[in-house]
Amino acid sequence: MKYIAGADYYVHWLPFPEDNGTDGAAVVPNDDGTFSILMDEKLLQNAKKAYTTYQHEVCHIEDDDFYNEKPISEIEKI
Amino acid sequence: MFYDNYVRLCNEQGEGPTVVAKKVGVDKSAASRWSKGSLPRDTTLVKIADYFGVTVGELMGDEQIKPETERVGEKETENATINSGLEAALEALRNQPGRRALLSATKNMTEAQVLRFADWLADVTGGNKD
Repeated sequence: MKYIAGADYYVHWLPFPEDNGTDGAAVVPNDDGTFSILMDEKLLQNAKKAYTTYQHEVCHIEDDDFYNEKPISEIEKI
Repeated sequence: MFYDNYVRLCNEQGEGPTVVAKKVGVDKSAASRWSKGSLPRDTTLVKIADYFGVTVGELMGDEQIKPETERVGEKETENATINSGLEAALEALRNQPGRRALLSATKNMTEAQVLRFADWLADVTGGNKD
């Protein structure tokens, strides 16, 4: 299923805390069934990395990763 | 005894004593001083032991150094434990009522970082009831 930015999910750019250990992105489900993708502002310095990271988060939503049975290691490719 | 062990471990890794000295953050001339009998500081000893995956006791000759294959096996087990701990923390966050989230974690992310980041996320988003 395709989700639409601005309707099914929202993207927020904000400064992540220092030394956070993430790749610069996270996705959270909202109470109304939509999702919020949070992106670290530092990624704006590298458009290619920002785009691939953003796509990774959108895939979490489209693949239903909050509700499927896949192990987290497979979802996040740890 | 320290220097003999140090050289032996360097040889096992195929590296020279001065190269390893630089890698653990000391001046390359330190290796020359060690060869003449002086000993590294305690903090440097710990760094060298960590670098080779041995204990300080083994490095100093107080304990017998385990075979390299055994040391590698222990290191892999340690890494596997770290990774499974990170996975468990991320999995818990995916299913945690009130603050569900999926993080794009780096391989080096720690459980403590996951918890701190989850707190920060909950502050920023106000949590979720999903």
